This record gives sequence, structure tokens and C-alpha cells, in this order.
Amino acid sequence: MTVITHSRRQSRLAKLIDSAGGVTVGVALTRARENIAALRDRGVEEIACRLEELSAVRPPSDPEEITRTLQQVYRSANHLIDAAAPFGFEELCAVAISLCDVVDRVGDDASPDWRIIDVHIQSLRLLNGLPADAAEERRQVLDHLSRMVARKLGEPG
Amino acid sequence: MSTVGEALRETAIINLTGAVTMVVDDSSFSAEITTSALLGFGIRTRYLCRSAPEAMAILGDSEVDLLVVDCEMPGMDGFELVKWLRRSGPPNAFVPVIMTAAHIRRSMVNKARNCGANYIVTKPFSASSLLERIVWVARDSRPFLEVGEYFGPDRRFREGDPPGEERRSDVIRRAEFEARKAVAATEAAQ
Repeated sequence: MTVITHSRRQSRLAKLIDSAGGVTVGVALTRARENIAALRDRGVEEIACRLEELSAVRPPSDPEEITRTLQQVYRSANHLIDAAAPFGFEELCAVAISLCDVVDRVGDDASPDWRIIDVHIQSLRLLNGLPADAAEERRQVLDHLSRMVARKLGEPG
Repeated sequence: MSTVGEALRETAIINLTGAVTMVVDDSSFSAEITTSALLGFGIRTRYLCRSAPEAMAILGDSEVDLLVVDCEMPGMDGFELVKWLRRSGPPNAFVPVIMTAAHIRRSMVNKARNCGANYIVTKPFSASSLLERIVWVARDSRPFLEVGEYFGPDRRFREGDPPGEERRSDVIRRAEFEARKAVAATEAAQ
């Protein structure tokens, strides 16, 4: 197979980053973390909004709707991760990632088992409603979900 | 300053204020998170696009210095956008690209590998991992390869040092600096 190699010229970004002025990495990171932390309340609202979207999903009766509905679930779970990840909602992220994995795996099935998706959505709602200090309850939700995924799909969730 | 693959030093100085940056993400909140992090690094996002076609319209004739693209978007996804970009010719075919992903489908793994992005950052990403990737793409000196369908940075990373005598000036300078520092520390200790 023919390989054409284009040698790299230094990018403008490479020149800029070493130019005079700027800030230390420590200051840049502190500012970025402060900027992201300021969006926490919006993140919580966004999570609630994505959970509503997921809760509104009903198993499609028409086979042609399956792909579209699964795509909708996948996208909402993706956006939920976007909103939850920066603020340390690790359990919500773990369940949303598991939901994405499930949708990815059952996507080719003509009649996917919607109960698996429902349990994920219920778990997300439960986790979102638990108080911040309910660490043991969160762990139990994740354990149950993981066991259910392992039982239904043959792998840990 | 860190090179590709190295962790960032907190005391290193970076200047990203002039970087013309584009963020492409269909989720407005996710885009806001990304642009807020970039702002902390000194980067004001010049172009914020909600879809691949919107980005393509700008990238066709406006030069950018850094592109941050979400993988999962309705219609044309981030992988297809980057693949198009690499074949788009001037002014942006060689622009550094960082992709972000909440989740990558199994069917998309090959697409992710073959699209021509410099790096993919999976969420949850921290401010430090994003800045690290930005520094890495700035330092990325890998040549671009055209192999069959693929057009993008050489995907092979060399493990260990190159054979023979070290000839890279930045590595030699760093080694000399470290040696001088070690001598000074020893002398101070005595």
C-alpha cells in the first residue's frame, strides 16, 4: 500500500503556546476549575432534564421505531454523562455509561429486552434522588445493576 | 514545558490567548463546559458550532488553530467531520484536533481510530486532562500520513528512546538542564 508522508511544519498553536506572556499551568487549571464549578447548578438542572427525557421513553410497539427510540435513549444518556461528569456525580455517570453500553449491545436485536433499559433509567432516578451522604445506598444500586446486567447480557455492567 | 505523553508541570508557563479555537458540540451545556474550561486556560472560543455542517461552512475558508469536537452528534458525527477536515486541503487540513466522547460505540472504535484526530478524550475529563491534551497537540510533531483511506497523524508511538546517539535538540537541552540542576542540588547539599 502506498504511504505518503507529509512532514509537519510547526503549527500556529505550537508557536503561540511558547510566546511571551501567558499564565502558569497551575493558574490556568485553577481558573478552569472555578469556571466549571460555577456551572454546577446548571449541571444539576441539565441532569434532571435528561432524566425526564429518559423517563418519558416508552418501549416502541412498532418494530420500525426501535432503532429511533434506542438512538434517543443513547443520546440522552450521553448528554447526561456530559452534565454529570464535570461535577463528580460518579455513580450517575457509571449507570449512564452502562446504559450506553446496553443500547450499543442490543441495538442489533429485533426485539431488545426493554426491562434492562428500564432498570437503568429507574436506577438513574433513584441515584439522583438520594441524599449526598447515602454512599451505602448508592453502592447497593450499582451492585444490583451490575449483577442484573451480568445476568441478562453475560458481562458485568 | 511538557512534551507529548508527559504530565503537566504546575509552574510551566503557557500562552494560549491568541489561539483561534472552534468547539463543535450538539449539546449546548456540554459546549459551555468545554468553552468555560478553555476560557480558564486563556482561550476565548471564536467559533461555537452545534453541528458538523455548521462547522464545515466555517472551516472551508477560515483558519483555526485548535478544534475541539464532540464525537456523538446527530446526522454527521464528529468522526466524519474530522475525516472530511483532513481531506479538505488548506487552510485547516493539518489543524490540531481533540475529540471528546462520553461513550464510544463498539461499532465506532475503528471510525475513531481512522478519522485522523490527534487525540480523543473520554469523559469524565478533568480540566487538567483537557489542558494536557492541548499542550500535547501543540507539541505533536508526528508527520501526517496518507495511507489508503487514512489521512492524519502517524498513529504509531515509539516506545523508549530512538536508536543511536540522541540528536533531538529539545531533548538534549532538557537533559543538560536536568544535569545542571542535579549538580547544583548536590553542591547545595554539601
